[in-house]
Amino acid sequence: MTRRRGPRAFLSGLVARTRDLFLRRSADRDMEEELRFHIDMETDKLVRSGLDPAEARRRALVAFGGVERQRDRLREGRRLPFVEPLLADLRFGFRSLGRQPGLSLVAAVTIAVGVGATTTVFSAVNALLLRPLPLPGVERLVSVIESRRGEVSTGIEGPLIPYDRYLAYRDAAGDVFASLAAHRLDQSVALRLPQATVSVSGTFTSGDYFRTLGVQPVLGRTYASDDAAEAVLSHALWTSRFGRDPDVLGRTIGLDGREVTVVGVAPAGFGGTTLMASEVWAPVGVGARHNAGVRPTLPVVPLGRLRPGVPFERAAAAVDALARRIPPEENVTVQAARLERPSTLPAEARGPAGGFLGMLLGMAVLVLLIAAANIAGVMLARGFARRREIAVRLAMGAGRGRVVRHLLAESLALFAIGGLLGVGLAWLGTGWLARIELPPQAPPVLLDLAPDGRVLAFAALLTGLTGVLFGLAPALRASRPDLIPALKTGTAGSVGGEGGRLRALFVGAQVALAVTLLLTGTLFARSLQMGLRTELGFEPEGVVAATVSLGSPLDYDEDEGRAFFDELLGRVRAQPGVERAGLSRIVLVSGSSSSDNVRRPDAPDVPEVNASYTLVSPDYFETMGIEVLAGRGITEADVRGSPRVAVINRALADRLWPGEIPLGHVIEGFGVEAAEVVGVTGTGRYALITEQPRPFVFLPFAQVYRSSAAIHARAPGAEGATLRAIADEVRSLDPDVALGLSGPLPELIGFALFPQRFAAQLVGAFGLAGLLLAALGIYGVLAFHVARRTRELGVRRALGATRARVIGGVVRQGALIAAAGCVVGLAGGAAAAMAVRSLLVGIRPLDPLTFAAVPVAILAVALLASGLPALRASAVEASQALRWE
Amino acid sequence: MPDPNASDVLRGTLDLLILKVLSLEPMHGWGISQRIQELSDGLLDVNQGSLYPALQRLEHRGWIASRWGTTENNRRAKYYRLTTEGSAGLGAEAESWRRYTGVVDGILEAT
Repeated sequence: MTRRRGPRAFLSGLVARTRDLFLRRSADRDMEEELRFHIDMETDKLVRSGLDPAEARRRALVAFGGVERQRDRLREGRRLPFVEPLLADLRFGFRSLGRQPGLSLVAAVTIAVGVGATTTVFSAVNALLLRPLPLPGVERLVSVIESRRGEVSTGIEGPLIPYDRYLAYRDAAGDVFASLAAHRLDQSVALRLPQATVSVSGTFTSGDYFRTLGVQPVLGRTYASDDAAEAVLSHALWTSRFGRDPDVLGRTIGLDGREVTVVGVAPAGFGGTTLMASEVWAPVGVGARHNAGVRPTLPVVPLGRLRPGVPFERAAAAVDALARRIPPEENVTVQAARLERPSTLPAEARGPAGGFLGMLLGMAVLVLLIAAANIAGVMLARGFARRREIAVRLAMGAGRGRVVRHLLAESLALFAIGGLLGVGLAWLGTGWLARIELPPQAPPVLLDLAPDGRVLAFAALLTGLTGVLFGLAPALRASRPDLIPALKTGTAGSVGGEGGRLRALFVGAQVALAVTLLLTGTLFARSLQMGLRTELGFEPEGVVAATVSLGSPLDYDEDEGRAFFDELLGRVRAQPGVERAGLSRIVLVSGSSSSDNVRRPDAPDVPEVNASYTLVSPDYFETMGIEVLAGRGITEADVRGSPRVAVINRALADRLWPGEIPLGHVIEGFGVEAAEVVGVTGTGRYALITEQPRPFVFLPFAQVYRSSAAIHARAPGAEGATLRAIADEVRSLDPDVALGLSGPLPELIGFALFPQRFAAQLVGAFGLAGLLLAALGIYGVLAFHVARRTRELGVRRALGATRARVIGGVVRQGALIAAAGCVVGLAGGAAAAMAVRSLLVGIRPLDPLTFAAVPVAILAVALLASGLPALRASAVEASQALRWE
Repeated sequence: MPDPNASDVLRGTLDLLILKVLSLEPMHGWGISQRIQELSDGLLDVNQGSLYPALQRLEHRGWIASRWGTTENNRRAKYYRLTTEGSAGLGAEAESWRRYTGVVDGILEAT
């Protein structure tokens, strides 16, 4: 007969069995009733044929073949093939854990630490890299990313293009985009409120921005035109500055010196499409530099919603073709364009952030592995202590598989509890992460770190996998059927020697992992220290910086702007405590930079070099402590109309004039046709602490004007007063001008180092946890060992071994395990350090001091951990051992 | 009393017989065993120990469905009925049974 069971039949069976699993009690009742009905009917039939009722019932029962057996068979049939025995085993596991609640709790907490660490870091990975933006139909949103060369600038959303160019895209790509908006996040917009003018992060957008994103305001409306004098507030700003006053609609506020009317409030949790949360939105026309009657020229990034049914690839090809067809502005070539899905992190940051978070995740996993190895050791010891019980069960015919399953279930039950606790820890951990204090001048970050389904699934999978992996070895070992010795009482001496070795292996592995963890952690901590001191190329201690942005040329033309900055600089220099002061277009190592290609007009065959630059006033080099290696810095002699000059750094000099001192030579770039190189500085850090050596150019502020600059003042010991004075002077000069990024320079740089600093803290905590666990492991294995050898030690003592010898023997064992672990750990640490060397600043990945200090520390801890068991061993008296039978 | 000549239902054919009986009308477990006896003129005796597991098996496979109902004597009983899938299954199983017995007959009659 054919018995084909299609997948559908299989599924319906599975569904029925699953339902039965949950409805077991009512299913049991149903079954009872059905069987009773059957017996009753059979009895009635027999009575009708003439038997007396008692006899009839007996026969009916006999014919039925045993109600109890039937019931069992039917129950068996209802079972899920795999889940139910597993649940039974787990119940068993929980019960046997309950017998040693103290030990079990410690073990569960150990696992919880590992799972908690891993899950916390994974939450960050999830929030930053995996989770899509919480916008409707987000999978159809795309940014247009151009590959541009020449004088280019990049916002946090991507490479910026002129507004006209965006319009050209919008007009030509109507067949692939349902709508194409434009946006640009400005991290410091001067927001004038009745009470004060504050610097906020604001986004200037095209009129169809909110429609494209599908974001509805919670109050009022959004704007729909590119240059209405209107603004939408973020929910956070509405709350903090207006106390959620619904009458905010219709009020007038100032944005970068322009009057706008508040027309709406964005929903809570919406902060635009980047990690930096926007606090206010306004049409591009508001943020653009207007020259009367000329179209807005604010640079933007296009952000569009694909038409339904248009595949991503087709849209990307269309956009790429357009990019080559639309003529670019002067000094720029556009090589290609691609589409990118908007994400919490900008695309170019995803790689580094991924590496960084991956490394943290790796460390957290190390903690988990150490914890799991620790538990495996405990389970092994437990299996050993129970070997008689196990042997009895094996002798009575229990299959080995069954015994292994039981022991494994115990591990799994432990990991289940630990995993749950760990998720609780992760909940606390992410809450703590979210509250971490960012420097006050840092733009607000909107990041939802709370664990979601993906995080929980990750935690469950990780816990289950680790539990099986580390539960299996002890279970297999403990169920090895060496029955005869185990059944004999008291022969504790020789049995399980191999179990002891396995346990030593686990402890050795813990030590190795802890060494790896501590090595990387220490490298990080030291890298942080070094990062502040070396290779910056300037001396941040005692310097404060404040960014002042004068806004549009309507407010300040070049002459007025220069007058403002000169006046401000003069007043700051006159402040008590200020030694020197100067201006720079940017604050170094604060993350921002602009670059252009620089060439030698006299040598066309020397390749162009892409260099970053800033504009500086006289005295800037002295204020910052930037050393000029050859020639001079920018001085009072460099004014408008005097010969154009530049100071370049060594990295650029080496590229354009290898092996020469380029004083007196000429460079071309940054819109300057010929600037004479008058000085060379060392190569420092300019945009990021972790950058590769970067060619850099200093041009005189007096010869190239920009409407925003950072005033730098060296005022050791008077940093706070100086910052307040700068703010006061700016306000007294013009209350509408807001301060942007400002603070003591070490703090501003600290912000750049924030990820490292944060990682160092986290890694330090991980390292400490790993070290403690490893010490516990060593202690556990030795203590157990000593307890098992009580008799042997007693005999030795009786035969004349000194206490010192006994202590030495035990400690040597601990030291051996630790030393072996150290060797492996050093290799692992070296590999890990090489893998993350791009994140290490000012320190070699194989830093000898670190690689010497960590093993020493671990060995010291190992010796300490062996001390207690050794003392206990030496206290064993000969008589004690002889009585011990 | 069971007929002394009655044989136990052959392994594997019980499912087929249950399906056939249920194709006539919905029926409770005891009724199914009685009906098989009747239809076989008392020659086939359903081993009651395998009846309920068979019903459970068929129900899990989705070929029969059950619901609680009342008998003529006003007792609660679980009634089974054939599902659409079950009647398709019955056709296929019957066909394959006929083919099988045909082949066995052919072999037995070979000279």
